[in-house]
Amino acid sequence: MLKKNGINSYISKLVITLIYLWSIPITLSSKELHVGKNYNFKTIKDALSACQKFDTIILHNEHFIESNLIIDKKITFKSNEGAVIDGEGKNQILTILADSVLVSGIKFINTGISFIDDNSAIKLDSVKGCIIKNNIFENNFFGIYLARSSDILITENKLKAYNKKESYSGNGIHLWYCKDIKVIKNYVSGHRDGIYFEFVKESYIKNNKSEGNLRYGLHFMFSDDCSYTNNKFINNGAGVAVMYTKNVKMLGNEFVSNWGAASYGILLKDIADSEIKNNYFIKNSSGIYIEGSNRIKVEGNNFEENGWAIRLMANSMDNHFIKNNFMANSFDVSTNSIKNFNTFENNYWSEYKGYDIDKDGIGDIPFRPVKLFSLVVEKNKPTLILIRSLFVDILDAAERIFPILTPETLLDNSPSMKKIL
Amino acid sequence: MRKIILCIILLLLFNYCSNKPEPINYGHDSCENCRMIISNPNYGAELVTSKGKVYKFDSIECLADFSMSNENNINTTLWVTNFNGNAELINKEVSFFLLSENLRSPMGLNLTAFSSIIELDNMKQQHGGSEIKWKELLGYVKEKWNK
Repeated sequence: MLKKNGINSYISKLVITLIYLWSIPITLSSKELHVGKNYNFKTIKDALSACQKFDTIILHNEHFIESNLIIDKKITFKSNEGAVIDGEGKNQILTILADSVLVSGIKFINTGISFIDDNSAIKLDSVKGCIIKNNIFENNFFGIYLARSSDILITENKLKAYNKKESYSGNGIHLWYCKDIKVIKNYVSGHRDGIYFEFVKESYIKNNKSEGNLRYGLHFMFSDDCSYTNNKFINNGAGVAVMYTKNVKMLGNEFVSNWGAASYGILLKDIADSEIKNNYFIKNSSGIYIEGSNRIKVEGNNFEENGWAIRLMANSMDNHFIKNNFMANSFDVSTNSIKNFNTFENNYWSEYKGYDIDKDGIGDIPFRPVKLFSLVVEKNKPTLILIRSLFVDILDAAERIFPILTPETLLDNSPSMKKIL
Repeated sequence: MRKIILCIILLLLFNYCSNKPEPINYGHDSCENCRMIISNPNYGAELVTSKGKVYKFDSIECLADFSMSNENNINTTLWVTNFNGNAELINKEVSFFLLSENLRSPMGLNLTAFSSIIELDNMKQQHGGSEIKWKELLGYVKEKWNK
């Protein structure tokens, strides 16, 4: 009997402990704070000051006029009905100062413009593990701004701005001193720079579309070990700029319709040890402009209908151009010096007029992609007006036969006879 | 009539020979040093040679870098933008420079210029940082960009 009682009390203790343990997660589990006219919280500010760690703040379908909001706890901040937060052209809208915050489904509009502060719709400062997903940003100075943060996912957001002047416009997605950031499937248009990376490490940009931005679709400085893959950069004021960086991978992107005197598909300045593979450069003033860059592998790209496919400045060395297609460009390659320290191999050139008698698919005479006239143009731009004249054709033909002024070593010894697929 | 035409011609001639800076067309002109489009009107800078050729820059650091690598060019004048939002160019000789982490310049070295020490002190109080002389500034740019 005693023994039985003992067991009973043991079991009851166990049950009590279990119930107690069971209840802990319940008491710790998150609350939902609803914000809207017909709910407990009328303003977002109230909900933010009342919330606890792990809570969820849900915004209902309304137009909230609020700014300078601060999230300093680990919470979920979302709307399922597309709530709008309107900064009314003043200040910043939302600042995140806590780790692991999720922001989704909200429309942010009208931040203030400032020449000193980088006012942004969402600013993340010194945080980790946050997710910014599926939001809409309209008419903001800066859209999403990350400073000193790591391990952040920015995905499926839509950013649009309408300012016509660069100085009144900030960047769409702006990263400064960050590490391990993923920018995936966003759409940015009308900002100064669509996506901006400065002092960022080990991050990647994938499947985004950056279109019609005032300056650069993507602007990339001092950001080693990053990659960008399968993005589209269309009709931006000056294309894409990649500068002062080591070890960048640029794979499968499309650079389309970046027209203008200082517009480039990609502007490469002081880049080293990088790869440019399987990209499309279509209808740009200059496909790639390369200055002070070394050891870049340019492979399997398509250059179609560009003014210049490649402008290779003589201070660049040991760059390899392999198996690219050059089709219907006004100039395939131009340079500014008679010296050349780069190699071209196995590319397809639509301008190639050689033959292939041994039928091995490789032209029997080398192709010289640099026309004499492009050298003239590099020194004196207005001469471009003569591009279709007979005089220039004769000049180029003569130079092709006896190269004197164009770099003698800049040639493709094994030009492909067929377009490379 | 002839005199007027002569005057105009002379005026034009003098105009082209002067080594005054010309206004920067923000959003269109590109930086001679880093090739970027110059877009922030608080930071534009210029180098004007004795012959009147104007080189434009997007930031003080680019101007400093360019002036160091082209030192043989004597009698050049350097111009920087007064940090007050009016995009006015001032001569480097009469400017004061602030190095402040909170005022981020286009090329990341955080340099701003002011036409007076009072304006500089004002900004320094608001945003922190310290004054830096041109010579130190050159050294700082050199060190940061390892040249």
